[in-house]
Amino acid sequence: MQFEKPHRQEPVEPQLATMIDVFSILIIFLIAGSNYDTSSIVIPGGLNLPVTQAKDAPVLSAQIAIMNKKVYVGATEEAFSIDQMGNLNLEQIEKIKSILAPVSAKSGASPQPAPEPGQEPAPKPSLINNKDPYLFLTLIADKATPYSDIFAVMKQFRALGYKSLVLLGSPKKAK
Amino acid sequence: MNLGLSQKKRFHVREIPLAPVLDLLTVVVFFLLLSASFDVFRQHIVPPAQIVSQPSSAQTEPDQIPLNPKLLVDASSDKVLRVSLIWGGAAPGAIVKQAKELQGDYLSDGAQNIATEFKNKFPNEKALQIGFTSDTPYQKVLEIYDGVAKEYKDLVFISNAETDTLVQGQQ
Repeated sequence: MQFEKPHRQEPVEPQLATMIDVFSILIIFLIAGSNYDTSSIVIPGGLNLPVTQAKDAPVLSAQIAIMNKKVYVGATEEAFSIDQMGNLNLEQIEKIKSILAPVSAKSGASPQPAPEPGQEPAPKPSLINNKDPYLFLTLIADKATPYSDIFAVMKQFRALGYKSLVLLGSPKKAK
Repeated sequence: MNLGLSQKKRFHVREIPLAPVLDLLTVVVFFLLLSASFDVFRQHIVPPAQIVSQPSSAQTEPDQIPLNPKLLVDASSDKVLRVSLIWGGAAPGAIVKQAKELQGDYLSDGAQNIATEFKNKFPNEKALQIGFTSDTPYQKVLEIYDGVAKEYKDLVFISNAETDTLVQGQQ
């Protein structure tokens, strides 16, 4: 009697080298295509950001949020009424500066006082070099916030030394 | 007879262990996916107004008066939405567009068209002031800014009080 020898099948092994190639490309894509600085931006709950066609990604900076006639300083619950803008006392100003200072220090900048008449102004801030001796202040506001509130806040914080304001929005999706 | 000729050694090709490398990459991918954010926010930077010691383009000739162009947006309600660009100088003028002429829901293109029209008339003018009436919602502010910023890099916000006065004066 003749018995057929059973076929010995080769064990199937996954192609690990090609998988590593794919994973490496995935990692490069994730590193290149993502923003990590935005983790510092905290959007208060219930706030609807406006839509914008701006192309720039946010820079690391201190933030203020305008919502329901209140100005929230930093990512804290510390809030001031819009009506107080322009009429802040020294204690309130110091409080605002102490909240915003850690982030400002992290971004490598400090508030610059307004130039005296006849004095040369500081150079324009650069998006590429965020270590300029200039300060960005991110302004977050609900899309329904009236311009009068926005302007009051801009005026107040510029007076405090924050020169370049960052108007934040969600990217507009192409149709 | 042994002549001392041993058999050729068979070299065993050692393979790099790929499985732990793959494990590591998987962990890194998950870490990046969870910690990163994609295209969440966009921004406009509003730098301080530029103070120049040199005379503006409109003042290069002594008889010329500065243009001081102002883009005024009256967007208190959609029904009366109106964008006007006014300027002074020797021959003051204005470009006024109503809601219907501003193309679509998003005001950016309409605002850009006005800025382009003005730029074609006065190519040497580098700065533009923009103002909005008090009730203009922030969304409209950014839409207008989106359009105008494509033509002018030096933009200065003017107060709502001044804009309100100027808009009322136009009516």
